[in-house]
Amino acid sequence: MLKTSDLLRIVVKRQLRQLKLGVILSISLGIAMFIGVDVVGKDLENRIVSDVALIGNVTILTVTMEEHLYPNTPPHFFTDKTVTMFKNLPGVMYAGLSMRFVEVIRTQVQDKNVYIRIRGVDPFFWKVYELNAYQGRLLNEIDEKQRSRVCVLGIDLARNLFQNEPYVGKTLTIFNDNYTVVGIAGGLMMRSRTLDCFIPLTAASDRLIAPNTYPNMLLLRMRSIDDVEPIIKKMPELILSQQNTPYLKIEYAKDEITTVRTIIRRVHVLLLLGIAASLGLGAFGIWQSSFASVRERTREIGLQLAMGAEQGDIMRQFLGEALCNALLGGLAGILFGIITILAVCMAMGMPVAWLSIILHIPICLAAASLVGALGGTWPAVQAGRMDVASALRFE
Amino acid sequence: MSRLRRTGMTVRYMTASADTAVEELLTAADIVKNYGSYQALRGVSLTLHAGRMAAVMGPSGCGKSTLLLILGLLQKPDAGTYTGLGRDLLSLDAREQALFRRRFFGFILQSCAVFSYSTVEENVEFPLMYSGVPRRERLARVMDLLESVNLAGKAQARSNLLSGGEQQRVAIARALIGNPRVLLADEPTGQLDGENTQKLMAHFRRVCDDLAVGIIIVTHDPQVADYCDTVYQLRDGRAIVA
Repeated sequence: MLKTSDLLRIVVKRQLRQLKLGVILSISLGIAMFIGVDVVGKDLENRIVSDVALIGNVTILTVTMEEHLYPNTPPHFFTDKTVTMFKNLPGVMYAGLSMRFVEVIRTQVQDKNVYIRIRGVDPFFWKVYELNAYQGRLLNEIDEKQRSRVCVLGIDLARNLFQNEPYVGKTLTIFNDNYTVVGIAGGLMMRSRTLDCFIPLTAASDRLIAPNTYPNMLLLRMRSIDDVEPIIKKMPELILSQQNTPYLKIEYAKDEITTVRTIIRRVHVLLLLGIAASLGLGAFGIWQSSFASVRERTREIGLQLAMGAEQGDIMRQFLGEALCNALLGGLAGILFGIITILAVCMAMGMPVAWLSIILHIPICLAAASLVGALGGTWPAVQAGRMDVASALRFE
Repeated sequence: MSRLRRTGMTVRYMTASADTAVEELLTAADIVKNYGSYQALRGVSLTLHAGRMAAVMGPSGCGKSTLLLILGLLQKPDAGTYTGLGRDLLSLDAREQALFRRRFFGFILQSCAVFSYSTVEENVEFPLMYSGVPRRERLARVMDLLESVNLAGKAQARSNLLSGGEQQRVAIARALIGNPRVLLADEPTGQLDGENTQKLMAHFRRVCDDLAVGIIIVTHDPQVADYCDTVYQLRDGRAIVA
């Protein structure tokens, strides 16, 4: 029986001298896709899902007190305790407060009526909707704490109210109170809010005249779409554990969640098909090239058997060659995969998960070996079972 | 018995003096082999002694290669007896036959003289790997043998890039590396020109005389048969000593 060290030496030398580049490339592509998708795929997916989810509002939950529907019911609002409890829940990314209703006032600018929708918001409102300051700054905790008469405008409202930039520093009068414009809000989720005027929730409670100017709307931004439905199920129980709440209304984008899930599933299937196709092609390549090799070397096999090789030696040699090709493809794939991961991480400003990469190396080598074994076993068995006399007579 | 010996182009005749004391290596008697209804061998008998070279000749399809495969324990006869070095070789199982081949036989084929994509050194080393000889010892023996066939300088050369004559010398070295008692050669000069044929046969003769190896050569070439001590003509499935 051939020693394993001798077998390895023969197999590796032979394969290095006769590189089967097509097979190696195919396996390496599959392995590179596997390691790339598995290491950075989850992060990328989360980012994509987060963006898609934000556009579709699917990770945002709004919970409102609905006591106004029931006459003679005192107003209810969310307490700090309740908001803090939500902020500390694992699936919640941000929790903010707003008013259920907006106050609408009318003003005249150069003989033109301009309607201003005034909304009281807390400092976390911006984070929930991922809004940013197009000019100046957004409302912060100091404004909230000092009940400041400052406001942030949507860009369209600012254009309607003032003729020229800069808008920051200008004054807006609301119910005889002057509010200083500190910033212009922008962002994908502004949508119709570009015509809104945002003031601190505390100032709104103090100064607006409309009823129910309380923080009666809770805004939750969840980490992923998978976190939305579990928290909805527990919502009444969670709120009741903190405060008395007779009437609640929870709104979320149920249909959009289903759509986003379908998109993610399709992308997953597509990626898996790509990986499977590439590895399958590699296995087929190994199968075909091993059979070609067995045929090409039939007399050589006969001579080896004549020299005293056992069937097992021949089988191990051919299986070893198939595994060697597959492992060369696996190593090349790991290298390509790491290069791809580094490039993606650099381009997207993500940290490189080295531990995950290292943990994936044995998995990739095992996957490559499996491909080699699948493609190489049957040709190796055929080579080992070859009749010596027929092999030596083979032309 | 006269023995023809040639070295290069020089031809001289010698007379063997101690034939009676020569060890009997192989004895095949009444070997029969059929392929369906076709009778390839109809009772072939053959004896090979140590230090002797026997040629098996005959027209194409007469069963020469079949006889060689049977003698090499690579094919089973349908009938007959076959003993080698005092053992009944037909009673061995496949594993024992492989072991016997590894220890006592060396093979040289007409084509496939060398293993492709291997160096000269690796080609010659191969049989010793199957015998489990340590690598250091293997390499020393390979280099000694390559020197004897004037290929030491090409030990690391890719064997399939060598000339036909050099490839056959590699094949001889590989066949001899395990110190076999019997060399079985199927048309070893089939792809060689006249000069290289003479050189190869001279080498076989030296191996035969110096190492007391018994050699059976299957050939069409009368020039090759001239070098042999015994020539068997296969006709109608039977062997006749020419």
